[in-house]
Amino acid sequence: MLLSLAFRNLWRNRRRTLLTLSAMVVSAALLILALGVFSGMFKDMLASATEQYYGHLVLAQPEYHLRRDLFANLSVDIVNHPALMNEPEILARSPRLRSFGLLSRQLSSQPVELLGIIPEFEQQVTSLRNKITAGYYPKLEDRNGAMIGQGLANKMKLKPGDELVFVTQAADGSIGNDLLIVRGVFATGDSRNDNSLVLAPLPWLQDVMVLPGRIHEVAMILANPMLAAEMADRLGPNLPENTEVLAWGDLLPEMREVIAAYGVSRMIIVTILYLATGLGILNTFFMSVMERTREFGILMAQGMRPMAIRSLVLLETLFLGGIALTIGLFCGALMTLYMQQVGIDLTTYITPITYAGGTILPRLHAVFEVANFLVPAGMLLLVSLIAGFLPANRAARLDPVVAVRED
Amino acid sequence: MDHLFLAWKNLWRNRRRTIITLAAIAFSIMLVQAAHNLSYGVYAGMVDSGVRAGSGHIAVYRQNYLESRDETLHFTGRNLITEIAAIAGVEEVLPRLYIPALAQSSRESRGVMVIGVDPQRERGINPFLKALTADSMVRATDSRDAVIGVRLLDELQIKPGQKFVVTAQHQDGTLHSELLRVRGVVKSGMKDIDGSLIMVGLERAGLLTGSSGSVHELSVILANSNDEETVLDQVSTLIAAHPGIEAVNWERAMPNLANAIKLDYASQKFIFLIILLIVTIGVINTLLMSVMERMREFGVILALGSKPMTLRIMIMTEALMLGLLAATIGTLLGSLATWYLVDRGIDLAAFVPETLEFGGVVFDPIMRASWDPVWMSKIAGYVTGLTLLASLYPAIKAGRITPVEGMRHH
Repeated sequence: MLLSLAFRNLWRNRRRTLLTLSAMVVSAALLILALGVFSGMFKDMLASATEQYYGHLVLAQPEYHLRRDLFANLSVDIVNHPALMNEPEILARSPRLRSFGLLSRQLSSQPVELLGIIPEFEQQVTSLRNKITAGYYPKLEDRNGAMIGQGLANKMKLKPGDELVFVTQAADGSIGNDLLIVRGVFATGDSRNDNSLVLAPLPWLQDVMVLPGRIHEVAMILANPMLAAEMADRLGPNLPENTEVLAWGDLLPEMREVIAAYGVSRMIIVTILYLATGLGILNTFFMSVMERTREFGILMAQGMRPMAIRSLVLLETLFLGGIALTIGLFCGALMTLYMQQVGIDLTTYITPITYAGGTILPRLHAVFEVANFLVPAGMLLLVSLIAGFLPANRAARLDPVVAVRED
Repeated sequence: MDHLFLAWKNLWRNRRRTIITLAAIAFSIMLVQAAHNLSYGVYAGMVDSGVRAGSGHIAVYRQNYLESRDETLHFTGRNLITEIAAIAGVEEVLPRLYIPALAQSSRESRGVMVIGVDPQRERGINPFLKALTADSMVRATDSRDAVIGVRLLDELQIKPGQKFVVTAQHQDGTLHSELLRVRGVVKSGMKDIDGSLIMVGLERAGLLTGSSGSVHELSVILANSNDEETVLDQVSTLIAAHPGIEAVNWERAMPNLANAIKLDYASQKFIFLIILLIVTIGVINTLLMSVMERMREFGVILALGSKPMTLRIMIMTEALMLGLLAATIGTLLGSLATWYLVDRGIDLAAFVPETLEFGGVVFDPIMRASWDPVWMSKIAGYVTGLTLLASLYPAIKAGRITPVEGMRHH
């Protein structure tokens, strides 16, 4: 009975309820949209570092990631270690040899990071194949076919088919140099990758560096990147000595912390926005309680307990919160869906921005994340309850004798 | 005058409601002002350290260098330095050569950016060099001393005092090498810088490519960033005598930083917008309630011969008063919050990584606000305007009642 009474009370002043409701819906829906877009930026940022370069999990010699020591290499056989092969979470594994050197062509030369890869495997780990703007992904048969970034191509005025010389330090102490032929050009939007990353077939680089059969790391991609740390811990003990598995969070500690701190900033934004909304709800319910002083007096005189009155008012705010929540979540989801499917391209206004070791792409693009809905939803109900508490208390404390006399 | 008095009295007839509405408006003004001032301060800090390590407030380049970073686009800067340094408001002019090169130790090789600088001038300005002692800086522009990023030092597996070789493309097409010795170590906190920076004297860098005596960039540091526009004009006039050379502001020279700030501020503005929207809806609600309650009263007033316009004006005056009062209180609170944020700041050290890079600069975990009074009064004005706008519908509604209807209203 209390429930239907509360629900009916809500609609006695329809205009007021609708206005309050609209404020709540607006705050919840826009908040969900904003959080979805922020999450989208973080996802782009994480992807720029993981799916375009590191992968989610990297196996290498301990401390290899700190110094990139040429001699901290492993046998290529480790790619097929049973611990890695039998783990269903690992979707793909790519053996890589890394070399830093100078790429030159006629009058220009640029320092680059060259990854020796097996195209078939690397394509499953990083997403560069979807970012090709000219030519094709080099094949293993190409032997010395290279894929370079758009920035590097622009600087050195390169196009597919052009020849380059790569100069680096080889493992035997000599200076290794050999000819490369540009086969493909990729553009990721991340200036670091686009300006200095070069991919070439693994056997070719092994020859140049005089490291036959050796690799520096195995990059792996997981079904769920957020489980990377857990997976790294689980794999560790089953792998040979003198190897270490690192999750992307260990390779990019500042990004991990930034993503963790996002939870805190999300909480702050939600709290601040809802404080303003909460004051609106508080106002509405105070007015609605004051108007009904006489009515409450009569109800109490007829024997309704103060507790029941309090519950009545609180139920009203909860109902309002519930309705606002349903509509707000729906609208928020709809807008997020739009931003996920369509998004807004900002390339004409801004360039990519580096942040915490990753790159934020110049686009507004939302992703769905459960917390982006749960936090605003939970907080909205909480704020409704808190905002309803004061008016409810006031209603419950009325003295029936005084209250019924009220005009 | 009577109107004002009446409106003021009406405002306080339902005291609790007015106070709650007032609190909501004032609170949001405070929040928006304080948040803006905080960002304003943080951005100013980012820009300051960004320009000092990067392009300067104003940068002078050969045309197209900025877009292509083509090392052959250098120019002779010696006379320009003195001329630009003489402009009022210019703190320092830093000549720089940027040469992509390969650094090699006996064990390892890495791609690096060799920056040729004027050691004395650079040390006084560049925040990366702040922690260096005087004798760990490059000693002369033609010495073999190098200041090198800490991660690069580690990756090359060398120690301060040890030798290494950098190789770059000489203008004549051959690869040219120079032997350098580690003099000082830079720890900027940014992976890119720490992993690839090598700073040497301008002359020594020039020897690498055969471009001695020339520079890629003149980085102009101002004593006060507000002078940017006037100094840029003066520099532009000055270099008009040197065809093919251009002067640009830091926003163009460092798009990464400028855009990072733009994007951050845009997302903040979106949140501001939501707050103001919610508050406006709240104000409409309050004013509408107050009109609905007084239907009977309005009926009587109209019956006594008042014009509907008078009623409308009265309601809008009430809203204006509410808005002005809220703007005053809100700005006071906003100032108080800003004062605290300027004086104490917010220490985010517990939440953000020790070295967080954003837009190419290290984010200072202690955020400090900085006053932006123009913007503060602007936002106070906006909110007053919004309150007035929110009163339109209730005012129109009140003006439409007929005396009979109004008086019948309970």
